[in-house]
Amino acid sequence: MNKYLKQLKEGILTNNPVLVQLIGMCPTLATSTSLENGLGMGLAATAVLICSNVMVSLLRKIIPQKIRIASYVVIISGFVTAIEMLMKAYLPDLADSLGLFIPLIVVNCIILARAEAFASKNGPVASAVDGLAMGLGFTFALAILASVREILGNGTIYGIPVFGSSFQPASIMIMPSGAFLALGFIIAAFQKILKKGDN
Amino acid sequence: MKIKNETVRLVALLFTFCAVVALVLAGINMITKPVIAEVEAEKTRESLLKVCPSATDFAVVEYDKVANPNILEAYELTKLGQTAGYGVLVSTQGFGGEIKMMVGVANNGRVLGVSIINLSETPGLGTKAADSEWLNQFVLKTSPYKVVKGKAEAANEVVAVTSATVTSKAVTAGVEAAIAFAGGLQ
Repeated sequence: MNKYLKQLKEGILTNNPVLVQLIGMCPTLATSTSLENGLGMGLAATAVLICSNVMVSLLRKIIPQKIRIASYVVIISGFVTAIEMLMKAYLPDLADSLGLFIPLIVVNCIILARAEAFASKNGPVASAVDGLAMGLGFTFALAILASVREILGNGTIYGIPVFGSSFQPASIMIMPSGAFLALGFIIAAFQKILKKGDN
Repeated sequence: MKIKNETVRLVALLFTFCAVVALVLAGINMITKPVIAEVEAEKTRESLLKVCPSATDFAVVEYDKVANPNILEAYELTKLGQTAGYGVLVSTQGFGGEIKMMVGVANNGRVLGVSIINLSETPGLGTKAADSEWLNQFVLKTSPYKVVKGKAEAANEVVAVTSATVTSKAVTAGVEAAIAFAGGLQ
């Protein structure tokens, strides 16, 4: 049990995919314009990450070393397509709000990175926990970045206004350049806090 | 000989993976396709009601699809047996791809309502064009529309969504196309 708790802590804090490993930057920057989008992308990616990690882990003895990347890509895109079709059919409202992000999950390199670095070497349970941990870490980083950008760039949080009408939102924060600025400061602050924890 | 066998084995394995995934997806597609079609039809009905709440009945309008490539579907809206206007499903090219929208046009050419069916614009910027508050401008103002930044002064000026001028212009072009098309139907 302790092992899994440690994995969770690593995924969310000490080895956070976005804030420490700096992978999955593209969807992070693109979908963190509002907290709602950030959470949607984070949770959808988490679901795919858990499924693909378990699948890759189960097949790790069958997949030959030489064609492993190609096999992972087939498995991941298969899952994403299946999830997209199922969501459109049975959860149309959710599919509407996540519609843009589902195809983006395929290109999320966190999923490929975890398949390669973890699931191909570990059992299915540990891989599922790893998928959950990394997915939550991704969601956590997206939520922080999206909150900062939504509050500063739009004056709202989860669509609810937080300032009076006199507040002039800084539109740059919801544009791509604002994403880079905010991400830089957040990573710096996160590293500082992590370092403090070590001492 | 050994290398050749190895290559053949790898190709066969990868082919098997792809075939299995393709088969599974084909199966899921067969199950979900009718459900998705039903959901889409329900969405069309809902969007028609949204752009023309007073209508009581709809009928599909046949038209020349080759001459009107950006008009995807057209419906005649009737209220107590009389034509109340037209619901036109238009496709227009936005910043991030196709924008599909339903436009309700009254007999006199006024816009009854606009509703975005789907768009793939920049999240948080262009996606704001789908807000009913923004779309309501087309109902309050008169055609021919002009997209302006900041404040509207004239009765035909539509205020663009901040940082999404391309999207705003695309939606406006779509509304204009729907008005022109509905005018030709009468």
